[in-house]
Amino acid sequence: MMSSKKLEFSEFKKVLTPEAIITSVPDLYFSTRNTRTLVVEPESASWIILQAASRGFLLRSKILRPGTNERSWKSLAEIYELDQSFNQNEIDWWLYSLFLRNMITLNGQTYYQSSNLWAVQQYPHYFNIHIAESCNLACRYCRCDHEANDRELMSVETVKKIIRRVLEEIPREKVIIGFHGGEPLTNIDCLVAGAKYARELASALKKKLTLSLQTNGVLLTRYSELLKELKIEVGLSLDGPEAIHNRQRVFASGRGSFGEVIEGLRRARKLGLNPGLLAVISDPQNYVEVAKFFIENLDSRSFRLNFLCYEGRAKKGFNFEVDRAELFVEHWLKLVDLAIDYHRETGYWLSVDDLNLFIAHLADKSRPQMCYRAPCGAGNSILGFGYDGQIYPCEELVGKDEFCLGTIDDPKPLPQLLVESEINQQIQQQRKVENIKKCRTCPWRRFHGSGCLNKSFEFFGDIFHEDPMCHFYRRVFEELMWKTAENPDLINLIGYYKNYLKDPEANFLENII
Amino acid sequence: MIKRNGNSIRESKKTNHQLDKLSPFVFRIEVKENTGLADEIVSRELSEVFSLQIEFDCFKLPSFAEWLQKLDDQPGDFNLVIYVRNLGEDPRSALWGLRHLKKLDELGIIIEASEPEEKVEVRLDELKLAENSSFRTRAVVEIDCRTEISSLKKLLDRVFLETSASVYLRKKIGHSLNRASEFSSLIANYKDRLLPLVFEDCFPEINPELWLPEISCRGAQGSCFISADGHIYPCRKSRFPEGNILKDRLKEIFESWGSEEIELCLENVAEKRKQLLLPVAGEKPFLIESDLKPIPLFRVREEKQGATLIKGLDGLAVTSKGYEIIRELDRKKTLKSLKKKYGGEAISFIFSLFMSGFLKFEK
Repeated sequence: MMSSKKLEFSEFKKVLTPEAIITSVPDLYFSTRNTRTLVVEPESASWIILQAASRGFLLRSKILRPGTNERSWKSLAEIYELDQSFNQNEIDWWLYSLFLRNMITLNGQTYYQSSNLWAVQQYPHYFNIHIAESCNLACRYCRCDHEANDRELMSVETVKKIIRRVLEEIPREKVIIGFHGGEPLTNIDCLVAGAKYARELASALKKKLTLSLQTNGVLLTRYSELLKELKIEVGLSLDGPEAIHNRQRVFASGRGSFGEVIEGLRRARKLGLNPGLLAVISDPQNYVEVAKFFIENLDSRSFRLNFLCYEGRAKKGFNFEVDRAELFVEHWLKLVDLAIDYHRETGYWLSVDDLNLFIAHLADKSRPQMCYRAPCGAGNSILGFGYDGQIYPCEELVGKDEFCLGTIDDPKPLPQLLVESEINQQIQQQRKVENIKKCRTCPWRRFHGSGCLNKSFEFFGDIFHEDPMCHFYRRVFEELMWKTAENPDLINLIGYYKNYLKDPEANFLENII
Repeated sequence: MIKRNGNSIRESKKTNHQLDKLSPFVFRIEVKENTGLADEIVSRELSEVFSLQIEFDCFKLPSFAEWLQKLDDQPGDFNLVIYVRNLGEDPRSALWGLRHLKKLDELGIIIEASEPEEKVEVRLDELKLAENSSFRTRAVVEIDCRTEISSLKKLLDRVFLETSASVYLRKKIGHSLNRASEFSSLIANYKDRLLPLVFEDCFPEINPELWLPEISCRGAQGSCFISADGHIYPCRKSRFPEGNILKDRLKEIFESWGSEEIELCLENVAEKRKQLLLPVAGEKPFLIESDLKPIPLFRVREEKQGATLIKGLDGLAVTSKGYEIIRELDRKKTLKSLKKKYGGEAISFIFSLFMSGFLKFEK
């Protein structure tokens, strides 16, 4: 029934004969606030808000039948006869709105064929290489939890071997190579050699290559010029204003790194590099303050705010209360108000990761970000490489023996390694939403996916659980539905994800009936 | 096109491929300390179990947490639902432990509607804490003959306003409902607003349309209750045990499952529920395109004769022939190809599974 072009109302009306049979659909999620009810169809990730009139009619006619598996059914002629205070066009519009969202069937069929919606990528396109596991900072929440004096650096020979093999063996036309760590700028020879080699080889193989690097910024003043020359996209970790940043991002001596990082940012910007800003939010009350600092002090309208996760050194130094996700929800939602105010004052929309992505998920079925698919991107969209050439399904799993898929010295071709690896196959199967108990019946399972494999492993000790912050996602998706239905302009918060979607505006209109 | 003409949906549900007898796959168990039942359960193979609802009076650390962890580590793909009357002295620690159970699907906090306000307040706080701690929650509201409609309304309003928990209503054992008409109006009002309100067991005093569709015991159709002393009953309110899990094998109990009490339950609840939900269709034809593919939404428990199809609280026993057709539903075969292989009866069978919500069609 579904084609690439959305079914128009006029087309729908043509198949609405009086004999057409409408059945209810089981397993819908309902959430009522005052006179309105949000309805979610989980498997196709569709949603709508009903007003009192449509809700009353749809319930009385049993087109919506909460709490039971059994379907009700009625012909269109019977539906029209039920309550003549509504005109037929109005009823047709309600049915059209529900049909487009898989919330009813028409002669047994739904609009989306859900089984085809959530395809899994076959081969990775993003290769994240830890060229240095060691670091010149000793952040209090460090995910790697390495000692400051570790010297774990990748050799030039290893980085070249990784780059050659991924470019030659993985059948992808567009490839991203990310230099990561530790602090990658502490292994500058490897970075330079790797970047130059990747450019040469990609050009010879006619592949489109993007190079990126995530840095703590301490050495950015020294290396900005070089990074610009190598055309490497830079992500910079900066936790916000000085007092907040220096609380967590410190040298081994305990001294904060804010001064060096800001100096590095200024130098990079002066040279025309525009590093993407990333802050880790350890105290949810800081969300707005950090965002305002980026906007007002650093003149940035696009940045990423990640919450602190239960992993690495953070497990020892922070208090992870059982209900912490709710605190993060409460303060994260204030970013939406901040964005609205900012637009009112300046005419510009902010692009805050992952607020922009979540808006994209409400608008469209595309899932451009691998972490929010099911299974997540581990092993199918991304591979991580340790400083010693070991291969892992994801950057976040680098160094965890349980997930090591092999080594770059193994002559087996990488696609074959991925197919034959029991670990990888277990991940691809186990991390589907239907195989995780709490995800299986979760209304938000196709909005959020099965969550982060690594976060599940760190918190629960296995890969059979949901994302430990799933309450956060559940709550923000629902709140964003209510907010965007009231204010469709919020589609503009979609930021750069607009480029990934088929027709977001068409999918974002008229979510209230 | 495959055309169905004039048959009633109810008639079509009773196809040749379906069986009447359905042995339990949903187990509701009351656990108390030192009864031996808890240890017995974790020592058993739980292959019959698809959903295990466990009820504690008070959640005691560490004994219950350790026991639940053992249960969670048992092989088998069953869901856990846990009910507690209170989370104990340290609710946060209790919840921290419960969060690590991979099989835990929902957490129910039992709230007695007639309790003093301060006690209700504590239960509501526990419910909110559980919800904020990433649990899918139920407020299991227990009514007794003292329950005032005004205080019940106040409680339900607060649950709906302050949490996203579903409300599961049930009566305290041995108690009946007072002020049935006021109670009916109250429930109808919530239902009209699509608020998530489910009945755990029978409320024959009120209009069946209000409670029968979602009754979670399904009238002993696929579910049973095991008391703390091991007695196994068709439902929480039954008086006569069908056997004792501490002495008898489950399979043996279920082979003779069908006492007069169960028959009454099936007749008065399960059968009436079906009639309410799958009414006679009338004379109009229902057209299904023959190139549609049936997509299963159920899980399967193999039986000596055929299989039981399970979706949530609903089950359907099918014959060996029915199970053979079920095994063909590989998401690729169309109705046309199934009809060619198994004849029109197979299509009636698949159609009845569609109407019962056990499968959907895709192109």
